Amino acid sequence: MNEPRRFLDDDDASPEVRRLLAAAERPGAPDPARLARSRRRVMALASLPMVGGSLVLVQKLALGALLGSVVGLGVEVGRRTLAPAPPVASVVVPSAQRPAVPKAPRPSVALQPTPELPAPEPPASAPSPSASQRTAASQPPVLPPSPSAGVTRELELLEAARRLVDADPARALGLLEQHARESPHGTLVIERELLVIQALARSGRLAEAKARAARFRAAHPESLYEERITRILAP
Amino acid sequence: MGADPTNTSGFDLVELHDEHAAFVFRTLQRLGVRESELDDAVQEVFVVVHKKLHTFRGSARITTWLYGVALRVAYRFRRTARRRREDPNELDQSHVPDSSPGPEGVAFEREARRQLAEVLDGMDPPKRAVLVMFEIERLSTTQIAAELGIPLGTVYSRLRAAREQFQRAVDRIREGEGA
Repeated sequence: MNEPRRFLDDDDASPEVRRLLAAAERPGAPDPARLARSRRRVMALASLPMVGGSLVLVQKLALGALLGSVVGLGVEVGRRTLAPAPPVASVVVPSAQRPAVPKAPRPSVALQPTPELPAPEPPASAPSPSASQRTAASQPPVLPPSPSAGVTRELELLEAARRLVDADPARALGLLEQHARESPHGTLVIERELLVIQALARSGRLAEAKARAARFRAAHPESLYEERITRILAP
Repeated sequence: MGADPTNTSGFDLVELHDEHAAFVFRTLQRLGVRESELDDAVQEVFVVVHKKLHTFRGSARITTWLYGVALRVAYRFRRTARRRREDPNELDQSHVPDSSPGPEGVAFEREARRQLAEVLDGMDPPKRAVLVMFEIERLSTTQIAAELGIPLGTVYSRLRAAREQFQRAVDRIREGEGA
């Protein structure tokens, strides 16, 4: 087979076609800085728990899980409950009835943003003393949405939550709730759910974590993360 | 991916990125993902790769597999872009050359690029990619076949269809201008 002649090399080609193609610029290789940023995101991605399966399947399942996820999250952070008003199925436990949550001091290292992560903004108004007494250790680091919220933004939030989940699970839950608000149908909904289970367990809210895990298992019976969930819920 | 127990493929995601990120960037550009959404689209490709890496059997070239993932992501981004009715000049503005021949030349070139973007955006992504690789990047058909991991005959037939589609779209623009 002979190589066809390119329009631009063919004097018989339509002048209009040649005019448009002459104005085109070749797609360039991504510059090193852009590749480096992409690499950092992929490193963060690699550190997240992932559920195997096709994206389409994951997104379909995620929609099912979402109903339980958003409704059931009900994490009290600061002076308000960030989750939507919980219906009957809610598993929100009033804070007074919850097991005591370890009030670890805010580890400064946990507040440091990743290289790509915007620094947490201070709350718009300072909480009242009575409120701050209850929420001092659980004030969520709110990350301002990026101009183009998408999977990159999802990843920022989940990576920040993952870093906090052991040291400050209440703050991690705040970030996960932020993810639920910003990306209710996001690509990483299932990964969020795993982190929520982990954060609830780390907070001492084992009953809630188990309830979430049961829903997760029902929605994803073939999850590759059964062992991981079992480990999270182990006393 | 040593630390990830779910990865049974033997591939490391970061290494995969190091080796193939440029290919993914280029492919998404060729498939018509907007410059402003390129980073997010690349990220989405690697999210899918991360989720599905364990299903990759190695019977195909990894770039062929990545191309398939990028194609699906590109379709989704293009649909979203259409819904948002983005400014068609956006891509052009980021590629205005420094050596443009004065304001009129810039305007002329910008208009040509806008029309080119319009024509390309109307094309089926796989055809668009082959056309861009051949007509704009000036890759040979053999190079295209190797890069996309498709048979040479497929490149020829896809290129022929793409060129016809491109020509028809340009004719429509010209007719529209003459009307």
